[in-house]
Amino acid sequence: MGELSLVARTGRVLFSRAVQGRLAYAKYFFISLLGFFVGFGLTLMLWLYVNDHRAGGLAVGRDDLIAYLALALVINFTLSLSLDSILSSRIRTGQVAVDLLKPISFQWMYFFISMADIVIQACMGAVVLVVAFFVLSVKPLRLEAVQMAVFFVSLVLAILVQYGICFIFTLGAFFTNFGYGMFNLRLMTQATFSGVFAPLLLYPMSLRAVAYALPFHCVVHTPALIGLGWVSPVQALPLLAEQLAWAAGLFAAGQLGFRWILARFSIQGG
Amino acid sequence: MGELGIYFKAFKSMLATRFEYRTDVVLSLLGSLFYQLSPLVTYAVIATQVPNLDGWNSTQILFLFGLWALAMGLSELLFDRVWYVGGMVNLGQFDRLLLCPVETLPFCLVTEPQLHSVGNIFCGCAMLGFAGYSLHFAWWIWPLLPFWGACGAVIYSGILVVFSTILIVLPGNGVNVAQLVQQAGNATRFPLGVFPGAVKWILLFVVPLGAYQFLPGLWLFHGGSPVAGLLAPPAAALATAALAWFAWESALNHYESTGN
Repeated sequence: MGELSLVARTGRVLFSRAVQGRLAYAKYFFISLLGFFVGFGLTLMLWLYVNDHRAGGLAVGRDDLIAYLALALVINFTLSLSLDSILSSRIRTGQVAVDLLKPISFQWMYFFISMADIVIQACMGAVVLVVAFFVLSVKPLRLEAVQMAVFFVSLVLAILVQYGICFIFTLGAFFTNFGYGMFNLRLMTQATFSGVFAPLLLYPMSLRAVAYALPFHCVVHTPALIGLGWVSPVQALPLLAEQLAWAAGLFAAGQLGFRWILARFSIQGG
Repeated sequence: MGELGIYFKAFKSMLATRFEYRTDVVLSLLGSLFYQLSPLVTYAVIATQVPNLDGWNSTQILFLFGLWALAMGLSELLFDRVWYVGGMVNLGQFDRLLLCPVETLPFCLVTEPQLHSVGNIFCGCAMLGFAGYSLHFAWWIWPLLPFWGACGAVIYSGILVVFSTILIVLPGNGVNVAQLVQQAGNATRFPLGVFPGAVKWILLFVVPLGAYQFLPGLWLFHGGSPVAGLLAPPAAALATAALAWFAWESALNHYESTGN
């Protein structure tokens, strides 16, 4: 009990400091959001062109597609973490040694710090969703209590999956001097298979199979399906179980990987 | 040693430093391969829905993908430091740059060659080679490809410089501004005709990231103007380079060191 309360207290302090740090550069969240909007706008225009020029239209209706892409944009923006850059620079400069002295597990520590990104981005994403609610003909969220509750659970699990993925890829910083390779491996695989570009329903069978075999679809596609009401709360239960399994598996893999690395590496100067 | 010699020596020593880290070499090449493969996969999703985009078939679109990859790779090889301007300002390293007895903009740009540029250049050449072979390019088109790629690198880097000057005047985290430009550049992998007129106009005249591949493609495949295909890329490159230089010098006049 004492240990749990220590973790909670330390986590709260780390989280609030991280929020303060992020807010000091708040204007860059807006530039980041603008970047996401540019990507969203271009993707949307591309799909609308395809929809208008395909005989019989797409398997997903025009307005449904717009609502999906809007919700996928908000989820993707909310869940984008700066963990790669923060943690990898601390690993490379040896500052990670200081982190290891803190009275909290390394993995949980960076989880609390990452939550700062998510909370700030979620607030901005919520504003975008409210605007989308009034502008779009198909609403990007189904406002029914049970559906919303399931969506919220799915979103929390998506955060855990996203953190697990980022953490594992960031461990590559122990072996590299420059983060581009690992960062792009993660980012581009995620961009392709998370469902942020299009609902996986529009993917050819082979690519859809790859997407479902990887954890990335649990980050954007699964919560988007639930949020839009494309799956009922009952149908969502196996999807939530899948998200939970990926989150637990990735967290355990991250912990094992980190322990393995610690056993083999010495911190600079140590 | 002339100023050009200094640039070359700095570039060479930084490149040698990069190649010292072998894991980085492998992962950077893999990262750039994924960077080029991922949009090809997403294009494959689109290609299953419609046979062509605005009259451009898959091989012609591959020509656009290839030129963007080549331009990006050349930019990353020769001018990549523009991505780090924000970080340099934050850490006070920008002051050190201002003390160098050379022109700051070219010296800043050439002193951060990236390993992943090799992967992007390779992917660009491979895509262009495949597109050229499949489309039976005449012999005189082949030497134009690196020329258009080089124009693209100057245009892309020039726009990045203009955007990066925001970070000199308003210090902050940094990278996001450049990502905004990259997002716009990624759109030019597709024929600009699929976008509404205003977006097409912006990508040709305001942020001319489409000038060096779309206009040549229009000329080669769709009976567009040869004058636009041949002259628009270098003209856009010159205009962007001049604008970048002007923006950089103006930003330096408003620069305040982190200590202030």
